[in-house]
Amino acid sequence: MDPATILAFIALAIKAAPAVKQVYDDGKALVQSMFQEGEITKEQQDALISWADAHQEAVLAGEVPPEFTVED
Amino acid sequence: MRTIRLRSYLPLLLLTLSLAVLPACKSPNLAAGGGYAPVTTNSVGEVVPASAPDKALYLADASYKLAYDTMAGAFKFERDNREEILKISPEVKKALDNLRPNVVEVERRWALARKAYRQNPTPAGLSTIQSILAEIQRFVPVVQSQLAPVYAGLTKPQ
Repeated sequence: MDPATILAFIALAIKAAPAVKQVYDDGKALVQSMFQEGEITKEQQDALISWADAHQEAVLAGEVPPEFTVED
Repeated sequence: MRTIRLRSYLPLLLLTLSLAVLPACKSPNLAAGGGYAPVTTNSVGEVVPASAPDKALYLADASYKLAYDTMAGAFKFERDNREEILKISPEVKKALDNLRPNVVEVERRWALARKAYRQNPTPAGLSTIQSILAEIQRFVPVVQSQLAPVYAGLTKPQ
């Protein structure tokens, strides 16, 4: 791999890091809640069901985020 | 400048996804009054469950969100860095563009199934949601693998 490509990878990785880490942190918290001892709190439930209900309605309304569309 | 080791996040991310795919090894209890365990007040003023707590829907929604967020993150990453990624690996956009409409279609079926279930919870309706969940979860490693050549270009921390 030539140096220019390596540098391109590095730059891209640094740019991607916050976004990927956010997905990881959110995912980890969600999975932990699925396997935690005790109860899933009211707040945890409300946050998830709010997201799911809103996402469901957005999809049914035909909303497609730009990252899910095919662009030239 | 600290170089972030993204590679270390990927196995952990895949691990969390695999945990989400497994049947609930430890079925959580839902606190009364939450969205999946609604309560109401009866004629004598007691707070009682409005309906049976729906642990299965909670787990299905949690698993779906996990899969969706991971794919959305990957799609967004490619879109936000498209020019650079095209220079590094021209096939990535093409591969993800093949997946995008399929994911949108599964999303549509998930939304329809979930709406139907929310209006009338039945075991068959839940089973439909879980089947669609399995479909979208199968997309996750496929989407992730398309970006693997990009992630593979990481360096070690300095």
